[in-house]
Amino acid sequence: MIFTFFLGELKPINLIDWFDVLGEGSITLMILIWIFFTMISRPKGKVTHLLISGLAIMQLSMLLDFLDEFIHYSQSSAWITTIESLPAPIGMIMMTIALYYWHQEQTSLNAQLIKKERYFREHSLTDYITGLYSAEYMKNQITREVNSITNKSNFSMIMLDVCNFDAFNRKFSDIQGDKLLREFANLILMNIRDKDLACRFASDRFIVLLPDTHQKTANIIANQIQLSISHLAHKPGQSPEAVYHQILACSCEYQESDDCEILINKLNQEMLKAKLSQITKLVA
Amino acid sequence: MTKIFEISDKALSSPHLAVMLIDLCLIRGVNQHKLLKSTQLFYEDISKGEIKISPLQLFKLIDNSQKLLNSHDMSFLLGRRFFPGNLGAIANVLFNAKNLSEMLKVIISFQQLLFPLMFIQYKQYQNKTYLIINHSLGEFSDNHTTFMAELFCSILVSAIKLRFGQTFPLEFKFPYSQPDHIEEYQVNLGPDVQFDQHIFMIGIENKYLNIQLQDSSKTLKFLYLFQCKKQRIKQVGLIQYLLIFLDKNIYTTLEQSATYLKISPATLKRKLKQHNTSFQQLLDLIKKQKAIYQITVEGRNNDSISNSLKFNDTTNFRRAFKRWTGTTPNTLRH
Repeated sequence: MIFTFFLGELKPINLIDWFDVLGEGSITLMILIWIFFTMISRPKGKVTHLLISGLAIMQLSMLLDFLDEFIHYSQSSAWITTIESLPAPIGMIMMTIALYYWHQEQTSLNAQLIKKERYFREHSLTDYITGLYSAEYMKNQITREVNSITNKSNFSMIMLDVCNFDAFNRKFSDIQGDKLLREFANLILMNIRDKDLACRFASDRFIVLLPDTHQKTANIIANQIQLSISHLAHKPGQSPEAVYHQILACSCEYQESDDCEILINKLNQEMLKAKLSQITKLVA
Repeated sequence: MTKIFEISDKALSSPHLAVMLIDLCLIRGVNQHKLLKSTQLFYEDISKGEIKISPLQLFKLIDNSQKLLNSHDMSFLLGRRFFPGNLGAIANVLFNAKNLSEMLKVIISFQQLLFPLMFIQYKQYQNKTYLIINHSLGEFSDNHTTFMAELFCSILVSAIKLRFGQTFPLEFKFPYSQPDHIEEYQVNLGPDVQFDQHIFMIGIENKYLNIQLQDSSKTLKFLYLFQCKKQRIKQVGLIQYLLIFLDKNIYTTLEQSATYLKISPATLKRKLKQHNTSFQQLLDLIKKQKAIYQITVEGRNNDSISNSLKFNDTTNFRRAFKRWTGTTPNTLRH
């Protein structure tokens, strides 16, 4: 800036084109604002450096243009007016490169997000279909519950198994089957208390952990879930006709010296019994 | 004359399994290109349904799907969908079998049409029936072994469920250790699942084999059976062919087996290597399975087993058994 003053001399007031001053001045100011916001909103890095350098070079070009309005250059220093527009395209090119890197950065950020999802899927903590946590997570929670058990408190478990899920899948496709499981998951969540935890066990089976609960209460809750599922008028896909579902439930209460594996085995055994009695009921 | 096919031969005429797997993966949001990467398969070709694929391509596809999805239920889901699927006439034969025993016989004699990747050896002892299952084209990784075993069991169980409306008590013995996703086994296969058994075997009581299916038709069965016999492919996987031969001739040498296959010993060696195995490994596998069956099912003593496996004495047998399984015959008994 000082350099430009040194090269030229101030124009007389009447020669200044105020319209140009306004236009070029505001662009210069805007670029300054851009630089400011870029600096505060982006983390440091290649993309940010490139963006700011590009903007700064643009700023230089604009500033020279702006000063033009006030300063008259002598013949020998007239070169400065010819090169003043040169930095602008360089700045633009740098910003374009920055934009390209930005795009790459964003893509890799997206990929990282997907990886995060995968990460959870890999370690099977969340279940993709239902959005619930998976059996692995439940097992950790049961172990935690077993370890923190006190004399006063006890906990119970519920296992739920969708009846004829295979037949439904066969009739309405797997996509509808997945949707159905998601709806059941939501219904189960609606029917349990805030302190309870519902997870997808495997396939069409769910498992619920009820802390500080005796089997009696667990049975009541299991019953409520069964009731609410049997009342769901589920309409697969575009079909206007409702399909009603039944869900089998069984429960068990923690007993001393049980561990996670024993508890889950108990539930599996109970479920097997429930299934057998259901089959005999159908036959009879 | 039976044709022998190998891992890289494009011999799987029905891309049934591959198509189902691709569909399942796409439903779950897997990128199609990533899924088919380095399988040399093209979605357009597969959907036309007229291509033949090699076991290697299928294995690669399974591998990709496992890496991309990492959900443990793929094998089980696939198994549930497998039957009746679009298997054609053979599914109708199975549908019209009069009981489970007949279903099993159909599965075994039309194995190439149904499931050319694994084969069943059928044994009976007292009031139980046992199926010993082996790979027709070798095993390539622990993941591969697990996936195929899960798939096989899931197919069997869901076929039973479909026809009988319930599952029968089946006992499953798996050669590998208990996986983390044990709950899938509990839900899909039932409570009787054992691991680290050094054999892949399924046991069922004979009384379940003879439960009659009221809705089966003898006439339809024969009709479709006739169709199947016409389209029956007389081809068998290399490892399956060799294992069946070794099962009957446990002291065969590599040279004799090569002669049986009408190839040179060097070629046989090379081919076995392509299938991730060796002659000695296969021979050991057969002997090991015989020993385990005789110990756990027939309850025979070491003397009798080492005799039947042509060992010079029991000490040698015990030593060999330790080498195959890492444990002694006596530990397995208890």
